[in-house]
Order: sequence, then structure tokens, then C-alpha cells
Amino acid sequence: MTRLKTAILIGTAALTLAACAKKRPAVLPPAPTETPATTGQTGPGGPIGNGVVPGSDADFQRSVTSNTIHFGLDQYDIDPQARAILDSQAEWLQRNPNVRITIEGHCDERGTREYNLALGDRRANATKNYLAAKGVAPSRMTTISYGSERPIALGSDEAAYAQNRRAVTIVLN
Amino acid sequence: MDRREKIALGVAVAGHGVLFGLLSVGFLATPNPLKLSHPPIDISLVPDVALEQASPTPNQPPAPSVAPDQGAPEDAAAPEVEPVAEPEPAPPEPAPKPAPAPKPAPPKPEPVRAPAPKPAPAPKPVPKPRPQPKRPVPAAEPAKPQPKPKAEVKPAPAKAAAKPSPAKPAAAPARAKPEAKPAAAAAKPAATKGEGKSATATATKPRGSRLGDDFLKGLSDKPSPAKSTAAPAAKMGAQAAANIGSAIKRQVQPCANRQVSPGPGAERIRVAINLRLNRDGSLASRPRVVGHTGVDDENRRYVERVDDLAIATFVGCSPLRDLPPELYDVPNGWSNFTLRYNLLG
Amino acid sequence: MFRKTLTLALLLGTAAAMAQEPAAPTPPPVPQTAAPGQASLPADDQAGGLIVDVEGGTSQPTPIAIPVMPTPAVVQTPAGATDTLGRQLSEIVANDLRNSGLFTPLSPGQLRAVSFPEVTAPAFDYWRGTSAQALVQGYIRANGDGTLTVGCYLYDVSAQRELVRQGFVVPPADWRRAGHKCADTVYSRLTGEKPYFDSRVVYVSETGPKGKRIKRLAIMDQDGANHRFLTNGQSIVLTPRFAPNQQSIVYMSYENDRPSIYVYDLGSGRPRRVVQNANLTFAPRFSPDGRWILFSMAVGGNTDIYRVSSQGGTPQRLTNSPGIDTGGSYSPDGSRIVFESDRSGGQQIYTMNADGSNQQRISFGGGRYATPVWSPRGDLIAFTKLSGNFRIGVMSPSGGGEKLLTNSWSDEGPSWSPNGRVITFYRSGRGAGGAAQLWMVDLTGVNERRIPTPLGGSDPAWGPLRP
Repeated sequence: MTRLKTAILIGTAALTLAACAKKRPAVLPPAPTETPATTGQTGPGGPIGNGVVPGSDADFQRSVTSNTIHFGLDQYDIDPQARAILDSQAEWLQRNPNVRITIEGHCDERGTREYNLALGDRRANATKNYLAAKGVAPSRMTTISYGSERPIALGSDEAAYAQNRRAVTIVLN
Repeated sequence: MDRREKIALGVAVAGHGVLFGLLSVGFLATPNPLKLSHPPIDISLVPDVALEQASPTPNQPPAPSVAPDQGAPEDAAAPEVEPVAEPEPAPPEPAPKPAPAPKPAPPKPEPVRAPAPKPAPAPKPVPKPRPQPKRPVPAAEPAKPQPKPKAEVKPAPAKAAAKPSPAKPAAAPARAKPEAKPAAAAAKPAATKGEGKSATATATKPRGSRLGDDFLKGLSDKPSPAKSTAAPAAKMGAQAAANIGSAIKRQVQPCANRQVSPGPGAERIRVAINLRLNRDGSLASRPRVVGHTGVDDENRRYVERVDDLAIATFVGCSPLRDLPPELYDVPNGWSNFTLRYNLLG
Repeated sequence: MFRKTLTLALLLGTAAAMAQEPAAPTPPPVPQTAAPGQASLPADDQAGGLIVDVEGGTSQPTPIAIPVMPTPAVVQTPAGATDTLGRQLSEIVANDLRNSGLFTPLSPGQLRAVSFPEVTAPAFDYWRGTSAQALVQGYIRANGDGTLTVGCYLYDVSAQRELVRQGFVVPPADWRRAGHKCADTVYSRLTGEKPYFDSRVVYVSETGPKGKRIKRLAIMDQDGANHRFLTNGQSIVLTPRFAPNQQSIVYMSYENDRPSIYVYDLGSGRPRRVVQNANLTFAPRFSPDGRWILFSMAVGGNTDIYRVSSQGGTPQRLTNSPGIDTGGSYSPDGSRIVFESDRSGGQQIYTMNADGSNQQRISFGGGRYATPVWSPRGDLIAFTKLSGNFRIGVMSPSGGGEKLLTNSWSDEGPSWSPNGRVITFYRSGRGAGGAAQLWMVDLTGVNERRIPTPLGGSDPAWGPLRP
């Protein structure tokens, strides 16, 4: 009995861990013609490697430096660090020209409600404009501001705030 | 030559030095200017200052206390003890007579008057309201019994102009009003009076006077200083008014302290209410709001409430107790007065 | 000679009389500051000359007695038995008055049972023996047609007289409103303020972890009763505000991942989209006449203020600066708008005409200013000040007289009571567990108190007085 339980436990754990295969070596995406062109389609190529669909958000996230850039307090300009990240995003997007993305703008909680909505919108748009300047067609990009409604760090200290001031690029599947 | 010069120079220098030294010492010795201390004192405002005690009848010089009739102490005796001057209702209105409130000198005329030389304080110059019909003005300067005797006296002499110019502050009014009889304000215990009645008689009764021949010395022929004819006849003396004011204020202050401000800016509103009291200190009629200051657009909404608070301040602490009866129905007496109230800022 | 003397005396006397009238002696040490200017403090002819000045007051609330309201006959109604309702009505009145911060109701142990006939013939001798300065008596009666009548009488205890009386006829479902109306009658008469108890608050009810808050629109009476949810929490909702006719609520919602403003009809329960474009629209507010909806729209990364007909249509742009312009609020007469803008580098408060002209900054107090809201009585603008902490404050429409009312880590989003005397806002706590709650404060800064809600709450908006 215990052996069965152990096996079930291990099996469940393996299953849950299977989706976390982020540490596998990057696999070059297939040639453009083979990648899924539109959202919602899994593409003819089928899963690669451990099951990441090329052109998907998971693929995006493991391909680029980061899907998130950060901002200074009350700022919406793209600093050099952000530029590097966006450059890698732009590159991936060039390789996946049919992929559409949405860019979320977020703020820390130390701002008032309406202003944060506007500031998040500024950050999202700044990101979009930078990517557009890098050759990504604006028609592929939408923006949305979440103000301070969706923080990822829940503390009320500077470290948490710095993490929350961000723009996140999300590939739409 | 040099030696002399030197000596002279030295002497001069020494002399200057001494002079300077003396002067310096003198400066140092100057005492420091007095530092005025300001201990908090409870001051009651007395609107009626002495000056205004001038008899209401300016046209009458303070009647020389001509031959105060009473002379004999027996006259005065009776009423005197009562501080209330009333009896002579006279004072009020009928007074056409300007009864020159003698105010100033009061003491002078009657040395005899033992009772009261009422000096200054209030003799309330029998205010001669002359015209005042409305004021019952006890005329008899309640404050001081003295008046009484004077009253009598005055009338007689004053006859001139319009009424005897009772030199005596108190008496005067009484006298003046022979017509005033109606003043019978009678209500007033007329302290002064026993004589009052006689007074109205215009003191015609010349009697032997205790006054010396030179009793006129102190009197002045000048018209009474500043007293508006329209003013209520007998003004309470400043001191008496202050005392009354304090007494009333002391009694209503605890009620004032309980009133709650309705909102910001209400403390700028000051409301005046007119209060009429009975002799026992209770209200004779409902308090009446007679005016406001300090009302602006920001606090206008609170005016009605501040009115309520002013009335509650008084009503909550009425009936008033232990107010001097002789000051009840003199002009500016506490039978009819104005209470001005405002919230603390 | 005599004539001259007489004339002189008359003149002097008249002069003295005139000089004496104002009766303002040189200022004494005691605080007798007669207000300058208005000269209507006479000693009028009728009064004696004696004037007594008294000054005094307290900041303690007024003690007031509110005994249980009797009923002439106990009748069962859909709202409950009338005797029970009578007790609950007196509690509604007592709670409203107590929560205003200006009154202290006597405790039940100090009250006496009032019979129905005594309602109009109070036992003043008894009440004078208590600390009460005012007395509220009333009754409730079931009418034959199913409605309820509530009578409300206010008495001055020391003067022993009635100050005001009012009766209300209500359907059983609205019985609580009769209690609020009675409290309003008492409150207005005793403070001079306009009423505000018979009103509602709409807000965002919050629950869940900070990173994934579930937010729902909710509405309740200003005392917390009759609470109900208007949305189901599937989409984030923010900043709801009443229409002046109280028939609908305008708010912003993330439904369909399209953050946009909607109008929610309280009767039908259905939302309607206001602006038909893809841009982010938010921070909506009705104009005082209900004809316009003011809102913010972000186009290409820049946010400006627009207005649109409340029936829908083409938005008209009102501001056009490169900064973020948002948070517009109309003056009560609809002629001007106050808003926030960071065009000068940081958030500050500006006013402009309702057509967008004559934009002027009014906040200069150091620090940043946001979320301005114009008082319904036009005399003040409430705002959030950001200088370290977030604090609620008020200033005049020209920017002067700034006064901060609260002092906590994060107080934000003020909204005025219908009479312009009380401000509601929400207060957040620090850290992962920091939940927001609704609070109120008197505009003098006193009586800061939390409004109890079923869950957390933010973005409160106080509705108009119900007719």
C-alpha cells in the first residue's frame, strides 16, 4: 500500500513539475513558415521539446531576456536595462511576425487610483512605442493599464514597489 | 609754562573723568523700568462710565441744592435705609423735566445727607430721561439712599427750567418727575422714599436746612455734562452697573459653558438678547433676540442655533438670585437688560 | 444765558447719546471681541442700557434624549411589529445623531418610557433632571392602508418648548428612512446644517489577497444598513459614482479586458457602455444636472479629460496637455470643474470652466495633490495630499485655507456628504494583508470613524439626499 501511495505521489509530483521545464536549453524555434501564425492555433509543427508551443507565450517567455521591464518612481521612460530587454523581445517578435501581444502597464500602490491608471497606460504605451521603433508593427500590439490593481509583490516597502512598477509583454494565444 | 599747562591739563582730564564717572554711576543707578505685570483680572465691562452719568437734562445745571428742605434728619431717616430709591416714580418719563442730574457733585449739596453722600458711584444721576416715558426709571437712584432726602429738596429749586434740578443725583430724578408720579414704578421699593412723595411735592416745603450758607460752593452752574436727553433717566453709576453685570454674568456663565457649537465659524456670531426680569429674578417675558454681529456667508446657517444657545444660556440659569433690588428698576437696571452671547472660538 | 445753556446741553446730550450707542468700550482683557463691521448689535430703545457680555461654549457633543417611540396600537407589519419598530426607530435616530459627532444620546438607562399621549406633552420636569439639552420624541403608527406614519418632535429641554415637528408616511419597506428623516429634522434644527442622514453610499467591496483582489460594486444606506452587491466580482470595478437622480451609477469596469466606463441602471440592474472606442476610459463623474458624464480617456499614452452626454455620443475634449489630466469634479452649479494634472511635473489641483477654458492651478502648498472633489455646498474642495503619507484635506476653491483632516499612512479618495459637512474616504493598511476600509470624518477634522462593511471597501461615493 505504501508503495502505491508513494508511486502516486511521485507520479503527481512529476506531472506537476512537468510543466515547469524552464531550465531546458533554449531550442531554436523552427523556421517561420512552420511556426503557428495566428493566435489560437497550435501550429503545424507541434510541440517542440518538452511541449512548449512555438510562438506561444511560454515560448516567448523562455526565449527573451524577460517579459517584464521596470520603471523608476513616477517614471515611464525606458532605461538602458529595459532597452536591452525590449530589444530581445523585439527580436523574438520579428521571428514570430504573426504573433499579437498585449502590453500591461502597472504601478506601485503609492499613488492615487486614477493617476495610477493613467501612469500604467503611459508605461504600456512607452513600451509599445519602443517596440514599434524596433520594427514591431503597432497593429500587433494592444495596451492595457492595470494601475495598481495587480501588484506582484505584496509588501509595502521599496523593494516591492520597484517590482510592481512594470510593463509586462504577453503573447496572446 | 609747561608745568602749568600740564597741571591744567591734568586737572581738566581729572575733572572730566570724575564727571564721566559720576554720570556713569548715575546711569547705572537708574532703576530698571518697571515691568508691568498683567495679572488676569476679571473685568466687567461697564458701558456706563462716569462721564455719562451726567444728568440727562443738560439744560439744567445741576441744581444747586438750594436749601434742601429736609434739613432735619428726620426726613431722611425714613427711607434712607433702603437703598432702593424708588418711591419716586417720578423719574421716568413724565420727566419732561430735564432734571439735571446733578451727578457730579452730588455729595456737595448735602452734607446733611448723611446717608449717602453718594459720591460718585452711581448716584445715577437721576437720569432725567425726561422724555422717557418708557422707562420707569426709578430715578431714585436706587443705589444710594441718599437720594431720598435730596429728592425733596431738589424739586423746589429746580423748578426752574423744568423741573427742579435736583442736584442730588438721586433725588433729582425723583423730583423731576413730579409728573412722573406715575412712575410709581412704585414697584420699586423706593428705597428712598418715604420722602419721595413729599419730594414730588416739589419740596416746596422749605424747611430748615442743615446746610451751611456756603453749601453752594461746590455747585457749578455749568450744564450737566453730556447726557443725552434721550438717555434713560437715571443711569446707574458705573460701579453699580459693573457690579450688576458681574453678578449676572457669574450666574449665567455655567450655562454658557455648556453650549455646543454647531459648526466652524459659529463662534464669530454674537447675538444680543433682551431680557426682562421680575423682581425675583425670573423671566417676565420670553427673551427676545435684538441683533447679531459677526454673521458672514460661511456661518449664516448657524445663526438660528446660536440664538437658541444664547437663550438657553440665560434660561438654563434662571431665575437669577441675589441681585440688588434697589438696582432693579433704575434706568439701566436689571429689570430690562441686554445679554450678548457668543461661543468660544 | 439759560437758552444757550439749554442748547449746549442738548447738543452735548445728543452727542453723548450717539457716542454711547455702539457701546464698544475699549477692548478689555476679557475676550469681548465685538466683531467689526456689522453694526446691528444695538441696545435698542426697548432695553435698558445695561449690557452683559457672556462668552462660553464647549466642544463636547450636545447631550440629547431619544426615548423609545411608542405606538398607539401594536400592529404586525411587513417590517415587523410596530412596538419593535418604535424601539428601532429611536435607535436609528440615536445612531445617526451620535455618528455625526455632534450629539451624545443619553444611555437607555437614563431614559424613561414615554406613553403615546406624552409624545406631545413631554415630562419636562423629568428631562430637566437629566443632562439632556434636547429631547426627541416620536411615535409610529400602522395606517390602515399598509403604510406607516412616523411622527417626530423635537423639544428644547431648558426652555421647555417644542422646536420642530415633522411627520412621515412611508411604505413598510422604507421604514428606516422615516427614522433617518426624523434624525435629519432634529439635526438640521439643532445645527443649522442641511440634512444628510437619508442618503446612500455606493462603493467597491474588496476581498482577497492584495495581488488578486475581488472587487464588487456595492450600495448601502449611509449607516450601513440595506447593503447589497451590484456586480459579481468577475471583473475589476473601480470608482462608482451616483447620478444626481440616483437612478444609476457610473463606474469603470475591466469586463472583457476592456477597461471602460459604464452606467449601471439601479432599477434594471443592467450596465450600459458609455463611450464606444477602444481607448482606456476611467474616472467618470456625472454633472450636477445629470446631463453630462465627465471622464478621463487615455489616447496614445496621454490622458485628458472629456465629457460626453449621459445618453452617449461623441466625447468632447476639455483638456489638452501633455501631462496626465484626470479626476474631474463639477462645482455644484455646474459652471466649473476641478481636476488634477501633473503638467507641472507632479500631481496638482486645477480648476477650469465647464467648457475647458481658463485652466488654473490652485494648489501650492508643497507636496502633491490629487483626487479633488467639489463640496455640494460649493465652499470647499476635498483632496488627497501626497507628502509621505496620503492624507485627506480641504481647501477653498481658490486654493487657500488648506486644512488636513486625517493623518494616517494612506487615506485616499474623499467624497462629500450631501450637506457638505462630512467626508467619507478609504484607508489602506500596509503590507500583504493591508486591506482597505471605508471611513468618515467631519470637515472640522473631528469624529473620524470607520464605516462597518461586510468586507473591505474602497472608492466610496456619497449619494444625494433622498427626496
